[in-house]
Amino acid sequence: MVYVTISIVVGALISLAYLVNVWISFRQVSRDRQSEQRGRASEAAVAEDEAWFSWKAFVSIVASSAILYSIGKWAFLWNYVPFIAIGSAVAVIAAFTFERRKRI
Amino acid sequence: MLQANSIQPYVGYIVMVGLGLFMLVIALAVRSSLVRNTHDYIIADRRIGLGFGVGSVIAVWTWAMAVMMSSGQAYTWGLSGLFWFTVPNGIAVMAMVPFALKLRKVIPNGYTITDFIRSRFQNRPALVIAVIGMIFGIFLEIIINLKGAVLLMETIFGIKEIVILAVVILIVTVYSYFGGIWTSAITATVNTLLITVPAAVVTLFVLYKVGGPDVLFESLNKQDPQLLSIFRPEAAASFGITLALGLLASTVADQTFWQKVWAIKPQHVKRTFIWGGAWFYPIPIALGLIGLAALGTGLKLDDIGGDVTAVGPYLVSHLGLPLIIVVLYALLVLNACYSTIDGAFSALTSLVAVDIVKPLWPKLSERRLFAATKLSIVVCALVAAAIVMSGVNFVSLVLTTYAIKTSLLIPLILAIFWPRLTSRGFLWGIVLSIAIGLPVRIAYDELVGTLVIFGISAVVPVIWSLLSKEAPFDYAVLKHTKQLDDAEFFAGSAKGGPVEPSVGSIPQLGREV
Repeated sequence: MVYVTISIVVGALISLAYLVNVWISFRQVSRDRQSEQRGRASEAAVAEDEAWFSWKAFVSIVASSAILYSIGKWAFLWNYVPFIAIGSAVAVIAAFTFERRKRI
Repeated sequence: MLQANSIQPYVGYIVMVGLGLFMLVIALAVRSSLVRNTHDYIIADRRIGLGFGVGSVIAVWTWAMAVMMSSGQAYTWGLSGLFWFTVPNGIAVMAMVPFALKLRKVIPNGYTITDFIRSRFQNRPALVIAVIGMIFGIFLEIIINLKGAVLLMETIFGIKEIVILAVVILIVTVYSYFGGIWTSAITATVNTLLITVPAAVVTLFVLYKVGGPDVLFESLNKQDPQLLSIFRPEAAASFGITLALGLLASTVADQTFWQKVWAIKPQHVKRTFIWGGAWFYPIPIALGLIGLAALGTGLKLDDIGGDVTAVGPYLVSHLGLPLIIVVLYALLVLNACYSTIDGAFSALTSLVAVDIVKPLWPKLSERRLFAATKLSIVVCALVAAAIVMSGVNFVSLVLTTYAIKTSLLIPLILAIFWPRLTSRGFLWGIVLSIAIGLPVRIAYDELVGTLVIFGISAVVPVIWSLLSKEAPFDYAVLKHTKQLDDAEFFAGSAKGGPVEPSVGSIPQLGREV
């Protein structure tokens, strides 16, 4: 029950942070939209050259395979693995934060 | 350990309608702030950032059926089933990156992948088959997710199928109607939260309720140690390889993802798909543990009515868990269902506006185009509901859609990267792979049929194009073709000016009306 309680507490805190980030970003987009309406119309920006390969993609595939392999070896990991689902919500928060920092 | 399920149906209605109303409020707020015309509605003025991009990609790719299938495959094959279900799913999303980067660079003002096909080949049959493939794919997404919602709500709350279908389709149609892709991106981002956090809480509660990981681990080891291995070759042969190939077609040959490619700010396209694919992984991994828990407790397939997909909903509603935990699980699956249907509706609007309405009625005013675009959601919802409610076995629809999308994949990849590919090579690669591969798939098995489709769709275009004397295609043509602004476009339309609705000459669809 300890793990359940921790997940509820952590989940609630992350949810709050997540919704705050959604709200801030929504407000930002709305403001940008309004300023564009008053000024110029937007144009499609041109993408820059980027390498298509990403180590992060490779690492995520290896990591998820390793997690699946590991839970077949050690039972105690089963109590920790569900927390990575909350990690996905944290990743979205990180995406919002990263985007805001890039604007500054 | 298992108990009778005494949850009342009204709880299910509250969950379905409550979630729908919450999404509607968000949709109305989005509409009033961000959506003013067709351009905003179908492409979000190409202003979707990294946060909404990642959040929406995760939610759109998390189908209701996928949420339940992760438990189902773990229940059927043990960890090998979960491995072969999970790993290709994330790869399929990340595999969009090279294609997305190339086309976003070549066609900065693109709207749909079918519009690229139109401009690349100028071949009507090729375009028609691609549009049909995309629309069938969208219907399939909607229908499969509706079926997922039905399975969930019937198993947990005992609500009748027809009622679930009517309520779900009505709710998603209403809120999708209001905001287009902006609504889809923002509601889907909220959906991601309501999928991920409940997934962790519910799974941990289930593990606690069935006696903890040690008990399950020992039980699975006693039943068959292979259940705890990811290396069972049977899982790969029976569904893993076919699923992996099919999933690639489900992203690269799907307008739901291409719409996002052109709607997201260009500097965030790569990161969005990498993060979206990478952070999709935790969802099936966490929920797969519910399937292993069902297996460990000795739950028999007959107990759940023979459908392995229902193993998650059945276990969660028969363990005597607190009602709030069961509701969280239902919310999780419904969020996956709503977000995918919403994303499919949004993709449909871009296809309808750019590939159907504009080419057929080039002089249509912006106001009418906007109305027709939104109306397509209602029409699609009615047709999808009619198909599901009619009770017809839609296996043929699934097979046909799968065959078209699989046959599109390699020709589409060649079209994006290989300038020598000709329109006839593209067309005959698709036609022959469907004509030969689909019967093989029906007569033999999925794996053989899929490999035949892939083989023909790769070999025919390459040989046909190598034998052709056509000059290689110059992708720069797409980029440097004159771009009209809206004022010129609609003025030109009104005067009966020439408006060829293909990429490069397609205008930025209407801004302010």
